[in-house]
Amino acid sequence: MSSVKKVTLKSSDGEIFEVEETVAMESQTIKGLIEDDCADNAIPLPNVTGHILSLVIQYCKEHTSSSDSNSSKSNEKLKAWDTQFINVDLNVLFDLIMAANYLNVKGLLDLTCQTVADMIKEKTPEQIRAMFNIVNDFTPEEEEEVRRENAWAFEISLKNNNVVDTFEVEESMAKELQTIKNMIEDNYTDSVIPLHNVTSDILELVIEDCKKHVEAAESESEPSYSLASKLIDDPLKA
Amino acid sequence: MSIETGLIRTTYGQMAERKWSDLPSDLLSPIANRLGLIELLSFRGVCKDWKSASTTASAEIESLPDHEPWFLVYGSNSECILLSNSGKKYTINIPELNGATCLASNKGWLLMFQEGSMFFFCPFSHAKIDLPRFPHSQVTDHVAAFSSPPISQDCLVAVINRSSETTLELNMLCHGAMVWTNHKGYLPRDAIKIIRGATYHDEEFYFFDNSENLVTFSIDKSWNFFVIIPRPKDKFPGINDLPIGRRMRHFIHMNMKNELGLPENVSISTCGTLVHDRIDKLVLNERIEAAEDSISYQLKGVWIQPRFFQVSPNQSW
Repeated sequence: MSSVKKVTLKSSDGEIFEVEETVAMESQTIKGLIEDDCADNAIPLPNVTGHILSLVIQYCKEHTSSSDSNSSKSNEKLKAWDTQFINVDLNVLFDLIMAANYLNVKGLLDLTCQTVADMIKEKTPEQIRAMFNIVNDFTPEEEEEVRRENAWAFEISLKNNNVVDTFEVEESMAKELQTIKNMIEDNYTDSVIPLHNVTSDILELVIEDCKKHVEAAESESEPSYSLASKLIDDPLKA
Repeated sequence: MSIETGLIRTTYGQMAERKWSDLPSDLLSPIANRLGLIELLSFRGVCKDWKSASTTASAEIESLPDHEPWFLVYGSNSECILLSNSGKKYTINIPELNGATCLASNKGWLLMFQEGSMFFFCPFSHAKIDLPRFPHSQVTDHVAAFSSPPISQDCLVAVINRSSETTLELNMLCHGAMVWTNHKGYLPRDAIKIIRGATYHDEEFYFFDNSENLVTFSIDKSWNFFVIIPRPKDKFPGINDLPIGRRMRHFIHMNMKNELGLPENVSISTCGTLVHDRIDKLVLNERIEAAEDSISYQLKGVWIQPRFFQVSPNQSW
């Protein structure tokens, strides 16, 4: 008969979990309570719901058994398990970060923070705001300061068929062109966007026009119109 | 369905969107600290809270071992070309590099010289730390190294150049010092050719030429001279392991002129950096000539780890 010590955890919504002491001690917070002899009855965890707590316990179970000398779980297997485990929606991810922090489970906190960091890869500030539902609260001056700091990292270049002239254009202006907008949305922005049907002098005019329209839209005067159709109609010299 | 604290359920059991803007800053910082340079710039552009949570983030992952350095081309105007280690090219405006020469690059900090003044510089954050005036008004064959980041208390800077046919001159600056100290070493030109790389290791500055010669200057002010040979099978007294590897002709091997899209009539002089590729390896400085001697123009380049250091405006040496 193994007498494995267990502790009882109670989530914010009243769910009860009976967990082996070694597993529960993956949480430094709970470990402290146990060591201070405060764990005789159920430990209340008012900041963690039952759903999230069950996930945290799952994580702790997996990571305790792997530190057993009898366990044959390799690092790669554990990493694979972590990847599967953390494949959750943003709401759950948010709750897991908060729970990992509150319960002080270092491995889980590292895993969740790294997951968010990985989500930020290849994303502009606008895309990050959209993904995480965050409002841009910079003042116009702060926005300008930020733009000066990071604009170079998100500029894309347009290239005409002369291969000589490239124009650095901000993404917002390039989006004015429907065709280019589609390419951008297809993630075509890593390289130079070739525009086979446009000569450099026409492209220059188009960009100037787009700039004006973006500025006009920003100052909320007349609505901008798509220039794409205008471009296609004109017969252009090679 | 019960009402749960911290959770709002509609009658259809849908969970409301978590307000990521409510994430406390002590949880935003660990996220910011894990980001590379471009991602960190994105992060800082999201909103006020995210920007202020990133004040200690410096894209530290870019300095991890096995992260290859990026390459920055600068010339006579402020428009610089940046090539990432994944081949992405950027154009970046860095007025501080206009007319300046990079003497050393280490872990994201550059040591720059400009008309007698020396300063440490982080090109991506524009962080700048001015140093006491350098004793020479011009740089010719000067090569430099520094022991640790300039904000660290034990940062030592050493700049070496050949002052005559028989002597090398070293100017050294300790952290907090107001004056450079001058040290001369007897080393004739045929003993050590042009110095092509410098680094610091274990209380000694190492200066390599582009063949097999090595000069060291230790912090107890003694010069030593070595010839680098392939490691013999047996141990011999007086023969020590070279603790630092070298990467020679790295710019050429990586086909950088092509990768950068530089035309043939461009000559470029590059400043190397220390990388970690199983062991510490010093990328040596190179001078690549233009294809023809006709109308060519000179560019400068530097291998750099893309860090984002934020120092206070009144940060002094």
